[in-house]
Amino acid sequence: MKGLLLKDFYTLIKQVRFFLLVLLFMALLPGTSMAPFVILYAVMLPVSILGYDERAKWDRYAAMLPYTKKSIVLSKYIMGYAGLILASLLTVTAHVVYANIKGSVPELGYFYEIGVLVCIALFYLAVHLPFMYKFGVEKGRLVFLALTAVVVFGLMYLSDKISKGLMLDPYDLLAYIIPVAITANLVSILVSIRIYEKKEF
Amino acid sequence: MNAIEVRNLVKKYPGFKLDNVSFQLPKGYIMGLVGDNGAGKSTTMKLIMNSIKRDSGVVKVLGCDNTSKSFVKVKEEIGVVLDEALFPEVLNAKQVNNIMKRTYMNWEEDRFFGYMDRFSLPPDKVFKDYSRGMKMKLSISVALSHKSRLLVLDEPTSGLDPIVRDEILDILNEFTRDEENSIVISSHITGDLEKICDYVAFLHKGKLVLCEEKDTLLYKYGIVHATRSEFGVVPKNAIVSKRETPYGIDALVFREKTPKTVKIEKPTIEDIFVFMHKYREENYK
Repeated sequence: MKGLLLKDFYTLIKQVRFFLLVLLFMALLPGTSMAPFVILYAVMLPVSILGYDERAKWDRYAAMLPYTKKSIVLSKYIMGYAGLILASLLTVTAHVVYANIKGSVPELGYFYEIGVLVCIALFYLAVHLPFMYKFGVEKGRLVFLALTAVVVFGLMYLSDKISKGLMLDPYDLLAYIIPVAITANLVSILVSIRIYEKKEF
Repeated sequence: MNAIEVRNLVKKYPGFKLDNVSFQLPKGYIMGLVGDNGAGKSTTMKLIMNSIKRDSGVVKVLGCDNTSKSFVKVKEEIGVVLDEALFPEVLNAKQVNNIMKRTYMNWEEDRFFGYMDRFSLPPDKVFKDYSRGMKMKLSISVALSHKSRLLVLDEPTSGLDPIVRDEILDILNEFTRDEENSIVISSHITGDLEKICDYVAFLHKGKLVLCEEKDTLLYKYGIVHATRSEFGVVPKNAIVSKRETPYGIDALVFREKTPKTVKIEKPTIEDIFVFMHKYREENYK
């Protein structure tokens, strides 16, 4: 498994370097909230890797190495989670640093916001990765777009409700969506492994 | 003991069927898989590695049923080269070394870089900038650098120039000098196979046409170039297949059944292969 993760890391490293530059640039622009951008980017990392893999017919080769199909699938999820953790740490740190510079106290609300975003991102991973495995990256991207549309409209709907005070506040919301996000991921991993085990390269 | 044992292997695809294929590769030997495009060579290779599921039959590799859970461990000792499938193109050979160090328990870093040197492969260049031949050489270097006891090579010499091909054949010969080591190799370049193989298996349209020791094969068959009248003395049961030309007849014959008066030339694997497939089909149309 370590070898697989390292391979994925090497595949991304150049791309991530470029991304960090963009990030730095955005961080220098005051007033922009880069959190959603950063976190959703992290979700797309496994898709990027899958794209490179597909072009090199890596899966055919990987099937010859001493790895189980389970660990090949699992490594992509782990890359997604690692990216997510890194991205959220990055945004939180940036926020704290900003607050310090401005001499204000970091807002608690911001952390909750990040929490909600991470859960949405987890949900994203859970839904789109099985499609990527089933249909390949090209067709899988359509699912990604569709999912984005659903999430955007969902958020608009939710924020509308929240602002009208009809529904939960973000704090309670988090208590609901964390278990959902975790369950979705567990199910998703099982589904992806099943799909991958049936696939022939 | 056998390095590979395949019995009654069947795999169906829409429009193609690998049909009841059986063969054995004893330890210490090299087997060449010959066949036209779509004959089922790559399918057979994949079934040997269980990267696709067989419909029926038995495949044992290094003594282990390849559908069993312990086959993952056996893969540690199998070096594989696939036509066209490799690492993502943004990686380089140094990174591959680091990855393989964490993939194979017996990874031999020095040996890997030794091959890189021998093949003049640049370790820092990304694979996007490697030629097809370079990728092949890299793939072969990997296969040889983790104490493999079996090499499964699918078209490893395609896209390489004759000098490099020769060098690779030398390395493969070196590899089987150890009696524990075996190779199964497929190639379009039958000359390469003729140079190194102990056994030759012919696949055609998913069927195993024959599988024999190379030397037996080359002795058993002969090529006859004769005029029509000269060819008249050759009995029908001696003829495997023939081709009529304006100048006479070329034929693949059984040496034993052909009269001594007819001049018989030694065939190449390619002769046998082409006569068996191409002209046999034309003769029986």
